[in-house]
Amino acid sequence: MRRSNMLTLFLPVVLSMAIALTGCGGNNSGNSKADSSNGGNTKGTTDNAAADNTAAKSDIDLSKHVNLNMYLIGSPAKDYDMVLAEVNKKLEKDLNATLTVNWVGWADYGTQYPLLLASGEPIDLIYASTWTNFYSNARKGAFMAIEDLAKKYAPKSLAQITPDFYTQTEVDGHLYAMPAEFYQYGDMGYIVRGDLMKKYGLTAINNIDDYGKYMDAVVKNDPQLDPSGQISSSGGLETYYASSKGYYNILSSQFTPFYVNMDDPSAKIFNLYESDGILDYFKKMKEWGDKGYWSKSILSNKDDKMFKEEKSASILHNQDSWSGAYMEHPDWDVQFYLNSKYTYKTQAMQDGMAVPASSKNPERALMFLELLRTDRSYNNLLTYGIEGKHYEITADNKLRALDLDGFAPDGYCSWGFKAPELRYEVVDSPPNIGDVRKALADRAKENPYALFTPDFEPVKNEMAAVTNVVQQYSFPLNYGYVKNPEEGLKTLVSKIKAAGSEKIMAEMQKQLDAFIAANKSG
Amino acid sequence: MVKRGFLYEIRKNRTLFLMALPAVLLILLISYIPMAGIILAFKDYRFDLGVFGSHWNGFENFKYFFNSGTGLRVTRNTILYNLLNLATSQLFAIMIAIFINEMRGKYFKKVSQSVIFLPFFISWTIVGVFVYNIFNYETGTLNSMLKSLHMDPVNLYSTPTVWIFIICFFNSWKWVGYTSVIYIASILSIDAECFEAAEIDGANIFQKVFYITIPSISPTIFIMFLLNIGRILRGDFQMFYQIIGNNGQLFDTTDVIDTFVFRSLLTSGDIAMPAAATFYQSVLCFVIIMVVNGAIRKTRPDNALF
Repeated sequence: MRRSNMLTLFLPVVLSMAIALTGCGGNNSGNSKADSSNGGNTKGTTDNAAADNTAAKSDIDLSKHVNLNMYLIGSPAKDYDMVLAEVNKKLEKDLNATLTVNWVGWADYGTQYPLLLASGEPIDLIYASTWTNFYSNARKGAFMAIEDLAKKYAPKSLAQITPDFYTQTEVDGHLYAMPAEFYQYGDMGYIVRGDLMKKYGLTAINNIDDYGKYMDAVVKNDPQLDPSGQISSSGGLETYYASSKGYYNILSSQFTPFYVNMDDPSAKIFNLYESDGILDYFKKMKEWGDKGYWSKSILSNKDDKMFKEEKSASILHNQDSWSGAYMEHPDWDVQFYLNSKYTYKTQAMQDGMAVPASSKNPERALMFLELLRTDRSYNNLLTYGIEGKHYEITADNKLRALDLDGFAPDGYCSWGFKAPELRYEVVDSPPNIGDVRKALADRAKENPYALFTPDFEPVKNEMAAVTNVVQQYSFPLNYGYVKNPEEGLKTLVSKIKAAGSEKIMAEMQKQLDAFIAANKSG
Repeated sequence: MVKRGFLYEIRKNRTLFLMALPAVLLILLISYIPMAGIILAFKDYRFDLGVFGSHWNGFENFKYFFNSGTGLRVTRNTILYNLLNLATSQLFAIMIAIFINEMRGKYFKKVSQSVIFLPFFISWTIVGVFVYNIFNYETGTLNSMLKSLHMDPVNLYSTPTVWIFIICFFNSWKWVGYTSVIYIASILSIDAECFEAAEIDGANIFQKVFYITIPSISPTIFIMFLLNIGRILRGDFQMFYQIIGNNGQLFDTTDVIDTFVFRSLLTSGDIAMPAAATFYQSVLCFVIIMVVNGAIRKTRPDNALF
């Protein structure tokens, strides 16, 4: 009796499961078929349209209203919703679409971003860049190849991409993102408060040790401020140490210690933790940590607005963050000091926008992107806010920010669709911004590895293990939490080796050598 | 006994089936249908090929888990945490259920029950902020208090062992109200005559609790125990991640399977590898629950789940 009861209970479950499963499977294959035939269609129409470019726009079907789902990185402005409403008003008229913007916070982008792509949630546009692992995501099919679609739906943007940026963005012969047509000589430097510098009698920060002096002065004179304001995901000064030595993070991947020395023409990949001088660096960090240059609880701190909210005295970031902070707090006279031995022209995919493979409306997404990149009214809204409320244009065609609390210019992940010809120089931007740009350009070095995009697939298990080891053993070393740095470094090195660092280095060296050989012949 | 068909069964109990339908559908939707995703663990997943289209790659996805030797450590941590949390939170829940049941003032009873229940609604993210603000070295409540008492501040964020207790405490704090509701319901269903008879025989309150209440709710205790054993390899990811975050110093005692997998793969964006870890958890859970249930069925057949 008992048994038969169980059977009757399970039978419907199993049956309906089978039905549901087959239903799912059927649906899925149907979907993918529809997709591929769609792709074919568009190709056909583009070819036709190519003959008559002017007619291209008119045959686009906008009759169905769609909502575009866009993901950006950071946190929105106070008035972002107001600006978005403005955008939606225009968008409704122009494309019969509305836009929703979702945010991935700074403290969590490393973790949330890949999950977003993996979740299959329909996303139409997403910020993409080297530091969000654009290349490996693209290789795994996270993004839609847009080279054909863009011919019809975003022709002007496609034409804007210069050939070298196009090749840099290309992955396996496909274009998976629209790189922002903008470059600068990027560097992560020291953003510190000029008023405090003056108070402490410091004139400049030229290297890590000078930064240490600054933090020391903060500890002594302004104990209410956290000297460095770092957060759990930043990983300390390690990357600063590496780039000040002229090392280049060859894998462009977070949480990996694999570098190439730019002064070494042989392009040999090495493990930072086994390089000369790293122990002295960790010892210094131990000393600094003990002196209280940063919180003893950093690894659990997720507050990424400490500098702007006057809780910390410095922040480690780039020149854009610097001008943003300068304008928000003019009385602080915020300064930016360079750190790296060399600067490189930012790569094409330093900033860009991609259409995830999960997008339901790639056509409309690209049309919207086209507007963002080429139509001043759209670009201004998401970059600078609402004219008259958040900014005004002065007589000499500069931009004056009116409400930094409400919407600070260029502050909300508008970098993915930066268009040089639509940009304004900002009135209140730091007066020495030209000098800083010049200093950055002076240190510039042609980067022979800019186009190298490693394929991690053969070593993905080892990469996972190394990523884990770095977070567990190197973060505490970088913050001087480990009592004996010498022992700590030994543990770190042995753990990393056990995790397979040598296999990764061998594989990456192979790929890098092949890349260099191909480039020489080409 | 005449053997009747499946349809007859449905017709006879159609009201009951109807009442169970939403729950059954929900379980189907949330627990059974996604089970097909298990195959991901053995595939080289690509976003564009999808779950069914991606290519098979054997046990490749499981390798990272055991490669660096952390797999066993986190498995151990997960099991120990769950056992500890199971013991403490159930114990507290039973105690609270008994206390609440013994309370006489109607309003006081309701208010205290609600207050105990409240943490259940607070998300781990918020709890994580609480924890950071209580325990952080420079400005935390704990150290401010210690300093004002002229004692040395403590740096808990580099003391792994205390986190076992902190995590255990917050876990109980959050769940105890919710679990105790189940026990309260089960205490209420005890026949009042038993208590009256005991009172007449002169039993004191402890004797009533130990000889009537606890034996009467023991089936519930077993069911709760079995249900929780089934989750023994699942770390409460939100809890560990929000409270501990990326703090490598504490991993030796606080890293569980879920956080380890999350951290290892956060830069790779590969979803087949976490699927492999989940598969590993599920298989072990299945084995454990079969063994425990089997053992209970042998000794106390009435209390077994199936």
